[in-house]
Amino acid sequence: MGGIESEEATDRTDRQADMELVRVENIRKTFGETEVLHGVSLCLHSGEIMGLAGHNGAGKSVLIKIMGGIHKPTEGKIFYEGREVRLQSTKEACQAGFFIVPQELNLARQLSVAENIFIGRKEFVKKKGLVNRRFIHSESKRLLKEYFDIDIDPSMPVGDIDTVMQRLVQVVRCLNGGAKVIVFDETTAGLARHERDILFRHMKILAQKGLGIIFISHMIPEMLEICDTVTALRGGELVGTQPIENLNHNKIVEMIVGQEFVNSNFKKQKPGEEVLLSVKDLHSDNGVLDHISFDVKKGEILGVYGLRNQGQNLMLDMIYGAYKRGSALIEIDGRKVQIRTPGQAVANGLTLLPERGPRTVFYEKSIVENLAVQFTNVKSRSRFVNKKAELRLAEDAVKKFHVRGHSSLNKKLTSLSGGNMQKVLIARSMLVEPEVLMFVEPTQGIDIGAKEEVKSLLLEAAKQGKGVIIITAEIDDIIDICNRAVIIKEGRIKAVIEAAEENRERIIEESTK
Amino acid sequence: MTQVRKFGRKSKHNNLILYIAILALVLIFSVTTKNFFSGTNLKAILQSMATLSVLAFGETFILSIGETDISNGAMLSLSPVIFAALYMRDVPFLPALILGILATLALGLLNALVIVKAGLPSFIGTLGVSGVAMGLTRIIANNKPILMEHQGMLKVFGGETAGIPNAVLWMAAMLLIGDFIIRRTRFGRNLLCIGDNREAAMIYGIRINRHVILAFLLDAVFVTTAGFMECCRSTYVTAGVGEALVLNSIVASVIGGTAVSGGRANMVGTFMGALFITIVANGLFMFAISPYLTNIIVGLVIIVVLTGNALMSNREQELKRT
Repeated sequence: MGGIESEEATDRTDRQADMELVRVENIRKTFGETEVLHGVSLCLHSGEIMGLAGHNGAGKSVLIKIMGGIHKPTEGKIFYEGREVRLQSTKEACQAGFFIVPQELNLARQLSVAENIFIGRKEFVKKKGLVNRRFIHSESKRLLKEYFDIDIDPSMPVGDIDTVMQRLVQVVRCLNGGAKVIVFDETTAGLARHERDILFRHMKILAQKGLGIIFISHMIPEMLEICDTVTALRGGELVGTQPIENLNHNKIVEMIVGQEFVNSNFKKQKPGEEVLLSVKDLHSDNGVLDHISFDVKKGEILGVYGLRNQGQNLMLDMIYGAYKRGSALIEIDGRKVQIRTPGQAVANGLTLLPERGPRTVFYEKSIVENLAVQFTNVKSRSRFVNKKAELRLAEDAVKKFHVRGHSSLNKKLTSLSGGNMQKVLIARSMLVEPEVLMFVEPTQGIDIGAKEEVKSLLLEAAKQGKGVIIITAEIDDIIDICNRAVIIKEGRIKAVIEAAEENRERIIEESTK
Repeated sequence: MTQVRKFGRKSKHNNLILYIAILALVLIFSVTTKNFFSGTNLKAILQSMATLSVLAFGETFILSIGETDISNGAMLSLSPVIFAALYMRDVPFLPALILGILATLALGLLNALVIVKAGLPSFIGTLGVSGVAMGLTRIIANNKPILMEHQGMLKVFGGETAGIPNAVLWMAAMLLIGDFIIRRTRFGRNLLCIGDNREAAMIYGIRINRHVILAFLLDAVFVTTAGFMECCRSTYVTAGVGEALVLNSIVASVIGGTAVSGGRANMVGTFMGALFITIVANGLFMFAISPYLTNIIVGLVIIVVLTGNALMSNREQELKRT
């Protein structure tokens, strides 16, 4: 009895493990005049978690979109479960079981959890076209419990639940749609450590159930933690696919970057004794922040670490004068300052660079204009725009900050890759010669090489005697370049810990307890 | 990655199509009608587009910050009406003129305050002010055309200098001023930043409210100028003249490459846009097509042109995607 049945069982699991869920052969894609993928092939099996790595612009997103029916390949074949398909739409891909979870998530924030899971499915409406509220509510509850063992009120608007839950709701939507393959496109960006752990735990369970997962991320430690294989793309070419057993951090970096990449030793500066920025009794009228006090010494990089939405962003906005409803006693270099507007902040030697995106990028404007905007407004004496001077300024800055990938400085800022855009934005802050610089997530969403460069730039600023504050969700940033870590939780400073390697676990723990 | 073929900056590219279209129209109309390509007709075209152009230049400032002003047409006749009415009642020239100008500036300020303080969307706010302007002009004019008695004003705005209508000279002057402000001054650059990304502009130290107020005041200056240009063409000043120009002032800007969402503005393009609209209308007039039919045709042409713009911009976005 045992022998034959168990043989059958092993056969089945073997077959299942070998089963190809999706395979692409020799995919080429041209947009207009440019070929962005030069013949890429890969194959994802059932139960496999494949990491897809590559610098920004290497073609990861395009490849995924081709696999998911968003773009048509210029050349090459796509196979779903061994059958060749010519996808005409994302709907076809979804019907075949291929789902993409984009970085920004595809959820309608005002709609409820249940509605987000079921919208577009035929169970969403009853016969007359009315929404089948009772069904979708009870089903959602059941699915969330069954797949992820979580209890959420399905009538809650999705915008109100926490970020990890949002991702899980999106995954349930895919699963409910019959997902066989789920692509996570930078889904972990901005998640804190323990949130990532929850997500990974669930991803592993899904893989065990036979799903195939493609995991796109810039964070190599994450890939090492969760992937079975890693495929790397570079400049639109396939570098290779390797099982995780053959890889380590440096090898993956080598695949992405293409050369022997020595992990640069970040030499942290020992800060002086003088206090450059002192913040006392910062308090916001909406009650989020209370009794915040800290200081930044000359030559110091202070890292603000914590879960999302603990008040960090509000704190920096208040110090900078971008948020006025509150009070604080601020001294810069010993002088008491009253900062009510960003303009006053910069005039007092304080700059803020928020997260790269809607708060920092002028999408229509050129590299030169994006670079010069703060300088022209605050430092320059003239009321007129001096294009030649700005161009010279930009050329100097681009050299100093190693900005690459531009053919002309008059092209739009958005034509650069994420990492180079970030360098331009940092240059913008530095051009006004501040004494204290504040950055929000300076290394978020940019590739390895750029991350290292950005960190070097920050260290360089500290070396010049400036004070730097960074808000970051990446513990590596804290350990690599910060002198002290300020842990913020629920609007209060919980602890200030020296940012040394031996304190890594303690810092993480303090932020989550 | 292989290099992307350069298309050049978007507004220039768009305008190439516009220039070609204008050239084509001129050719077609010149060939198919007798009088199109005559000195008199070309002069007439420039003269008839003058008011629209100046109004559109002002509107371009407002569009550049991502707002819309639909009160400019209603405000057009305000300064001339007040000036003419006061002057007729023996108020001396300068006070009458100043009061007229101040009235329009005051409405411009009102536009800005409604947006900045009350937080109303500009479309709604300026809609309200346009109602105020319409009523005001009619009350002051007592619903009758007013005789413009001041010969000097008639000459300065309605006369000619060396064979060129003064209105055309005013148009050229306002074009130069508008272009200079938007491209060569810090203020103009800031307006474009605000339109591009208001939040980022605030973070970078640009004082949003101050710029919005100044933009609307600047717009009011252009409206005042356009008002005198329009009303001094004939000896009678009529309240409500210009109310029909509102939409075309926006269309001219958009055809010329100014984005309704803000962040991009092109004064020369606005001029070309006004020229385009005027040529189409003028050409159709040559064919003795009724004004109502002309409206329909011009409207359709505008849709075609703007669709062309939109498709171009979509294609550009596609090429950028990786």
